[in-house]
Amino acid sequence: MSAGSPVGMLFRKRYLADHLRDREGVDFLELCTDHYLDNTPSVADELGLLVKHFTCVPHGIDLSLGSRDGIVESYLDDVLRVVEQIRPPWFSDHLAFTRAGGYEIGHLAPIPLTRDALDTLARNVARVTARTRVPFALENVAATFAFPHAEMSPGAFVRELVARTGCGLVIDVANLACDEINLGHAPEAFIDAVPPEAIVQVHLAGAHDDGGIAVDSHSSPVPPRVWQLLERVVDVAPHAWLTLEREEALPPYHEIARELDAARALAARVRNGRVPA
Amino acid sequence: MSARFAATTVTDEMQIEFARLVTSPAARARFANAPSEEAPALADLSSQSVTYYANALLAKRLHEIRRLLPSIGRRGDLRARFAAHAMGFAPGGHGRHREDAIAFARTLGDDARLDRLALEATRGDRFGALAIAHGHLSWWFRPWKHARLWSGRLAVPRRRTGESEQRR
Repeated sequence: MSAGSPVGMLFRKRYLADHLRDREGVDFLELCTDHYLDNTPSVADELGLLVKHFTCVPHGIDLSLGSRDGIVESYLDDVLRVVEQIRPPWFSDHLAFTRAGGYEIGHLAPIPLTRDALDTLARNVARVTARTRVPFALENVAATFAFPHAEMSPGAFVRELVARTGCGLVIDVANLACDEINLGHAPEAFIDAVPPEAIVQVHLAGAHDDGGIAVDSHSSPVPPRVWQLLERVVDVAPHAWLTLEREEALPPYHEIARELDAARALAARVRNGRVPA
Repeated sequence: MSARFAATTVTDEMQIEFARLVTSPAARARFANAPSEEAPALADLSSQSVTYYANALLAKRLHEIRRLLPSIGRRGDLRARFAAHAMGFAPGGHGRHREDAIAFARTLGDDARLDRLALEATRGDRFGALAIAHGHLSWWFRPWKHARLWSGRLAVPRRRTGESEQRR
């Protein structure tokens, strides 16, 4: 693994052969936890292969930490089983809810920025961290709307969550760029507000425009604005692991490798430009 | 009611009302017409925001279905048919896309079976056919060969779907 920010990507099966051929191309792979919850032989074989050859970090999507209904214990059991198999430096999910009052949304919904929602989140995060010694981190999601009755800014909300739970942060700079377009939120204000020591990982990706709405589709190359925000995060959190996410319109691997190299170069440039303490 | 209790209630209600709206086209339509009556805690949220999120959610589900059902996925525009399917079926939790795909495939299979039976019944030498699909008993009947074909359908009791099913 490189001396500076490790650089990796969200694992897509299409690139498995490329990763095995070019082991130095990624320092780690982020795995979608939910893909490995089915304990079938083929799933177990794939997970075993990845864990054997790469450092892996699981990233889940359905803990629904913002739900007042609480964590679904059977799902948490399954997630922790995968975490035990991988033995990662941390695992993560999202600052979101996917169910409420018995309704299954089936996708990540942003959390109202209220003190009550913060209480719920803190309670659910504590429930997760009480079950494992592996550190747990949360990722900011992109939103196309904001709930009314906000009582604090997104950055203040996350800062207080970290203070109350000790959780880590996965900063998705692509999502911050989407929120800037969709909600008018200032990404820099968010980055400056959250405790840098909590930032363990950064996500970068491309979005697409849907009639003026930025959609976090992970379907295009990383745009300049996201590189710009990445630079800011790396400046405050130089050891955060950088993760390229590409889920749609998958390009040839050499294009992915080029973006991974660009992330590596950016991190080195920021690191070299820092004044030693 | 204390301010603290009021805030608590509002936060909880906002999440529940939002989840209900994005999983129910009927509730969204009511919300668009009378937001403060349908979802008081979300009255300040534009119905366009809710609709956009709900449509994006449907698009994501359909995208997964195209991936999981490659033969069906190669077909043309499935959005309208999928939206009709999604009105009564919203799986949750781990494996939800697989369950969604299985249910959608079953729906399309029922469509194909009904079309085939209706077409076969038009053959003059057939006396008729029966099929249970989409919550209805469909029938085609001809009292003797080459007589006029009678057809109809009756709703049959079945497991409730839609909003009531999603609440668990």
